[in-house]
Amino acid sequence: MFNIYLRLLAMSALAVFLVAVVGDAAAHGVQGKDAAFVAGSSGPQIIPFLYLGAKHMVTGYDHLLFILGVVFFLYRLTHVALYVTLFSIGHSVTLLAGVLGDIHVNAHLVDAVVGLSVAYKAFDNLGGFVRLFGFQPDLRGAVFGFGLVHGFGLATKLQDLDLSPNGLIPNMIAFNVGVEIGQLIALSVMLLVIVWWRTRRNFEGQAVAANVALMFAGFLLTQYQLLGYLIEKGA
Amino acid sequence: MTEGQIKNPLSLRRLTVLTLGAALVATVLSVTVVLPAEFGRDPTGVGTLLGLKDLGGGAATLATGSAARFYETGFRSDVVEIPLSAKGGGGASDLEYKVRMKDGATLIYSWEAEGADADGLFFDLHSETDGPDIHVVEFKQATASRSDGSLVAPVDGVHGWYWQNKSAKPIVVRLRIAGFYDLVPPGEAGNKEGILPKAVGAE
Repeated sequence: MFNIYLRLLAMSALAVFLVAVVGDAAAHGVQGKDAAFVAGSSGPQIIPFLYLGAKHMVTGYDHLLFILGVVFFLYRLTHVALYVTLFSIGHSVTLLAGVLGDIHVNAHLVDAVVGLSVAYKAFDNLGGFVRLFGFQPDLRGAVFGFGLVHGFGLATKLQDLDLSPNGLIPNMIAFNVGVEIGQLIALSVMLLVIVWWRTRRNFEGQAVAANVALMFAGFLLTQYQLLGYLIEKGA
Repeated sequence: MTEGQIKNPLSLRRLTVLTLGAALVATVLSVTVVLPAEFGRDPTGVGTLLGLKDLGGGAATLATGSAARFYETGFRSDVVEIPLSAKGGGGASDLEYKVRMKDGATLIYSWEAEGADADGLFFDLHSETDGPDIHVVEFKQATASRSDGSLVAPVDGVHGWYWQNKSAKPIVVRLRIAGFYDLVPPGEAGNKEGILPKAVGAE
């Protein structure tokens, strides 16, 4: 009984947090004076774009939730490195291809799939696929595939900014490198907390609650983006 | 099992309950909280109850808003005289006069009530989408004999005033309006009384 109560409490806290953050970051990532800077800039601006990339990642809760889901039950540093690298390669490919190829994907739909990726990994973490379907889908493929989708999300944010063609490639690469730096910063914090968490006695039970919360957050983000898409289309 | 999952997978029953529970809570919150707060739509009424709905309207205005706005064409200005008969007298003592605007279009206005009891004028400035599912954005309700201001349309639809003469004498509201809008043809929603402008500005 108490357990369920705690879980509900955690969910409500997360919901409040999400709604607060979602509202603020609805345009998500690079906005306000940062956007003004980008719109006004022309030519290579390596350091500012590095910074914008890192900032986008550190404040991009959907990317962070997915990474948290991925590393949640990775106990060896080589595994962490492998999956984070797969994710990075995936999102870099589509970020660069999306911006260079001028591929425009609907930001709401991409972010809906990004939300779904969070729910997918959380469900997977709980052993959901094994239990429900009797097989374990390949994690490498999933992380790489969702990486591709996350990269399209990053591309739409960068495209929103009306990048000047002058210095586009160095700026875009700087943004991408910044994303990886931001990801490493966020990852370090997560690993610190999670390694400590695993030494605690109740980790196993709390891990279930945490992944249910992740799954919930993923569902909420997906629906938020789908609603945004529907309203944008139908108004 | 490969790396990356919990050591002991949850039982099927627990897994199902938790997954469906998470999906259900997310769906309920999406409809009752996120929809009104982020998009200004409130099918359940919970958003209004929690005071979240205004947040949505405001957020939408801010999201599209910037200090400078640009329009292709469509600037016009009009002077409209709106007669309101005395309360209980013949003719309409209350009516709506609105103009049609697209989401994000701007107008500025100035109106003044003329008549012996001009103070007895109640108004309600609001925007509404077209039917059948009318969504209303409320701006101001007050009793006053004049009002000056501007309006950025938060939705596609008709935007303007409901006026009600609460006094025992007739009132004429003299409205000057300029911006990016279209007049509502007489008889349609927003101009049921069929009021025509005094001087039609150039398109």
